[in-house]
Amino acid sequence: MHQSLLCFGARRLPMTTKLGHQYYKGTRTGKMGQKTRHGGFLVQWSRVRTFVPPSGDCELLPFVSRRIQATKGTYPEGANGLDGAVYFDLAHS
Amino acid sequence: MRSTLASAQKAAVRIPKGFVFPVPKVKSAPKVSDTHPLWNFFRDKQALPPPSEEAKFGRAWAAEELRWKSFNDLHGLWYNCLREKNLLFTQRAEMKRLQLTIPKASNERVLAVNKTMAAIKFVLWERQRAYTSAKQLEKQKGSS
Repeated sequence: MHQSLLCFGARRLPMTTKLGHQYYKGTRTGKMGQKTRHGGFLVQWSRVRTFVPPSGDCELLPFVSRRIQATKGTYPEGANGLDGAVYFDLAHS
Repeated sequence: MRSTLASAQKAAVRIPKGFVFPVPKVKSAPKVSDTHPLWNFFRDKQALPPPSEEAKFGRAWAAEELRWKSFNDLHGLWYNCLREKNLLFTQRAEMKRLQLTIPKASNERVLAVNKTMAAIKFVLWERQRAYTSAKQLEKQKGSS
């Protein structure tokens, strides 16, 4: 006989920090430094996320005219697209 | 009975004589400079451009076309795709605020931009793979 799961106190809700053993739910903010003993904060710049924008304006736009058909590249026989052998030959040619 | 009705009518309205109702202050729109960077989220500074204009767009870049581009070009193209995406999402947010139906062209435009970004990632991955393989080949040929 299969009893209802309600008899075993089943839950269908997300866990809270009151339920698990040493369950830290977190705030999804990451860690970018350390707190000091005197109430300050030391920033670890290696952990701060940075973005490198391109220098100068780029003229390329996300769309290409529909009149231009996409071409297919040509590779030597046996090559898996642009693989190491092709790259090696290109570099040494 | 009549006196009761008359007293009820008097009690319903108790505005003192000479009372002036408050009028909310009219706030003037804030002045924004023409070169503010946030104007990049709008096309020609319009919240919603005409749908016929938005329906005109090309196809996404193919990987073969991007293989001929330099790293700087790919970098710039990636950021231009991000700008276009931000612009399109701003338009969608405005449409949702006005409770308008998002047209198909907007979805297709976003898809095309996403395809271009995926192609950029693919080309970069391909170059990385080729470079590492070529390094290994060089070691093998150097040792033999």
